[in-house]
Order: sequence, then C-alpha cells, then structure tokens
Amino acid sequence: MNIIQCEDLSKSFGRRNALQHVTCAIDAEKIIGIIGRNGAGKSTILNIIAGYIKPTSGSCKVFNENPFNNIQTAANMIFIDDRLSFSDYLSLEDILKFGADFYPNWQSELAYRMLDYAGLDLTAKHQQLSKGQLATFNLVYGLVSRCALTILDEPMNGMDEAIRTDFYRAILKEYLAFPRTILITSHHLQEMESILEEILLIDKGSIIAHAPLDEFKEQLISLSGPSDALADLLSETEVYAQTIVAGMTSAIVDTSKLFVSEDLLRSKGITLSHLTASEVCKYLTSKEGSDIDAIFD
Amino acid sequence: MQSLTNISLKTIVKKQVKWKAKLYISALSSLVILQIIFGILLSSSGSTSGYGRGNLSVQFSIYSLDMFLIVSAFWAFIVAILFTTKAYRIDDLSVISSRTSSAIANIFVMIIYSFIAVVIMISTFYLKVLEILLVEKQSFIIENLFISPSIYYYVSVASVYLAQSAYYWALASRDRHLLKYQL
Repeated sequence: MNIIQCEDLSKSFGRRNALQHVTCAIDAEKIIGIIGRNGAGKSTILNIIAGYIKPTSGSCKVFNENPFNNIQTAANMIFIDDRLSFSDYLSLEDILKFGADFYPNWQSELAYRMLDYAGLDLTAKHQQLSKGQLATFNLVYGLVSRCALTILDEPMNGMDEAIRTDFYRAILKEYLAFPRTILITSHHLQEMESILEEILLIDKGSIIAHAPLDEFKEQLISLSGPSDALADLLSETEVYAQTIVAGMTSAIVDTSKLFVSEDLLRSKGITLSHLTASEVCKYLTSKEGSDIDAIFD
Repeated sequence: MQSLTNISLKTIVKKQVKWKAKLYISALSSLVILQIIFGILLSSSGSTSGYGRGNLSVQFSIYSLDMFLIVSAFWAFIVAILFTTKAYRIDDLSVISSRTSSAIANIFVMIIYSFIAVVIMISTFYLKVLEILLVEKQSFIIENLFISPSIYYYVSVASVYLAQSAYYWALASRDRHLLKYQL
C-alpha cells in the first residue's frame, strides 16, 4: 500500500522553483533514504509531505489524505529536523512527559533508556544542549513516538562518529520492533547504506532515481582499460565521468546502455568495477563538466 | 500494516492548550513585573482633591485600577503579537498539531491568560489597599470593586481579551492570504 503519493508536485518560492513536477509513490513500512545535493529540494518535499507547506501545484496524498493542515496525518507523522524546538521552560523530562501525552504509541521507558545511554541529563533544558546532544535528543523523540510515518531530516548532524553508528543501529532496531515508514535525508550516505531499503535521488527539484538500493547501485559502472580499446565502447553509451592517465582510460558509464558481455570486455583488457551508492549519487547529480580545480586555474 | 491513530480535533486542542499554557508561562511573569513597575511608578498617583468650609476640611484621594487595566491590555496586545510569531509557530510543530488546532488552542490560551492577568491586576489593587491602610493609615470609601466585583472582573477580562484578539484576528485574517509562504 502506498503511504505517500505525490503527483505532478511543484513548489516555487517566489520565482525560484524548488520542486518541479515530482511524481512518486512510497510504500508503507520501508526505510527510504532521500538523497540529493545541497538545495536540491529534499527538505521542501519533506515539508510538503509533513503538511507544513502547501504545494504550488499538483497533489500530495499522505495516508490518502491531503496533509496540509490535517490533524489526522499530523497525528500519524513526526518530522524531526534541527528546527525542532521546545520552550526554555521545559526540561527534557517535561518534554518527554508531554510527548507521552500527545503521541498514543509513545515509549517512555525506551526514551529514558536511550537518553541515559547517550548521557543526556534529564533536568537540562532543550536549548542548553550542545548541537550533537540536541540532534540525539530530537532523534530519540522521533523514534519513541512511533508514528506510522517518521521523517528524519538530517538527524545525525552534529553527532560524533560513535553515537552516529549507535543510532543507525537504534533506528534499525526500532524499525524492527515497530515497522513504520521512515524517510531519512542525510549527507552521509555511506554510513546510512546498511539500513536503507530504497533510495530516492532528488536533483534540481526533480526525482532522478527511485529504486531499491541494489538496483540503484547497479545503474552505473566503472570501466577501466587501454584508451583505444575503450574508445569505441564509450562512444555508444552515456559517459558520466572520464579520466585519462598515460593511455589508460577509466570511465563511469550507464549500465543500461552497455550491451557487451563481460567476457568480451575482459578479452580487451578492460576491467569492470562496481560503485558504491554514494559514488553513484555523486555521478548522477554532478553538473556537466563541473570541476573544482577549474576555478583555481 | 499497522493501524493508524485517529484523534479528534477536540482532543488535540485540549492537549495543546495544556501544553501551551505551560509553555508560555513567561508571558504571565512579564505581566507581574510590569504591574510591579507601574505600581511603584504610580504609587502616589491617587488623584487628590480637597474642600474646606469653616472648620471642616475634607480631602479625598481617588485610587483606581484603570491604569493597571490599561497596562494589562497593552501587555495582552504584545503577548498576542508574540504568540503568533514564527518561533512560537515552530514550537507547535514539535507536537501533533495542525494550523487550525494551533489557532484554536491559541484562542483558548489567550482567554485563560486574560483571566489570570485580571486576577494579577486585581491583586495589585489589594496590595494597594493594604499599603494605604497600613502605611498611610487612611480610611477610605470603597466603591466599585467590592460592591460588584463580578461585573468589574468580567469587564476587565473582556477588555484584556479584546486587546489580545484585536491583534490576533488581524493577523489571522492576514495569514489566510499568506498561507503558502509561511514557514
């Protein structure tokens, strides 16, 4: 069953288009990574799904309802980002008590255990926490509320490496204990890969890929071998990146447009290597001919 | 597929009022401070007039709560502006809320705060009475407050609330046009 259904969704802020004709459907009970460069429109689409902003055109349905100003979707959804704020007058413990009051599936016991593990003082005020502690608390708040749709917008920002690894595990464990749809955006795809089922890649306001993780990784492949042997091959397919060093070429190409067998490649001295998900993201979203070195020349 | 939770608007508004009433408590403490400041500034501001005929001389001072009411109304106006600022709206997003439920909850919180504000206001008057009795050792004739406290009370609550809503509704109607640019 589709939990989120976006059709021809566009959003513009003044004259700037943040999202352009986005159509996507997201299944229930999956962990989905929303990946994109800075300013690609990740947060905009999440804000629309959360019902905080209204799309300029198109429709977005969450649990088959329009999320904007809708109490039913709000009750089943939690949106965690670094803007999550609480009054200075509430200690962490007070916040947890209020959370328990609001969210029907709230796990108080778990919240206390997780905060204790992260070494957070329950009497502290939300604003007094450091950046990493704040992120930890917000993430715990998001997980223990056990909403059917949990949206985490860069939940790990500011956390140190050890706690990040721990909390990826925590997300996974919580997901197993109470399956729900989790949307995560992050710039650390490498770390996150192990818990993701699907990837939704956004670039310049439109979705350019939405596939299960394995399929996503196989979209591109890296070829390297003698330049003359590769030249023919590269002219037939789409090349995302290419470097030539001393007569040896290595290139990133689209797998779907490559119609040669591995044996043939091997006979020509060309080696195939697979890319990681974050490399695929990088190549798919990189600008034509972009090169940081060129700026300094 | 787990079942979705169904919550009525009424329940959420009730919970939000509870949450907001606690969250915004600083607004009330600012009123107390404001009243104290004005209480000190206006401590000798009973309007005094005197008459004399022959050996008899009558002098009376009129103390009134009007100034405090004006201060409270002004405070209420400012608080209403504060409640609708972006920071407060973002606070609402931390719990289950929709724009409708937040707006309704704000209205209730303002009504509650208006009542509390008037209690604070009237208690300043009692302090004043105490001061006159004990420090200045004057006797006095008590008019409005003790004769018909309830009417005075409700008039005060109404005027404080009016001051709040004056801004709030103006803003709410403006927001309707700006909804798409909010946040």
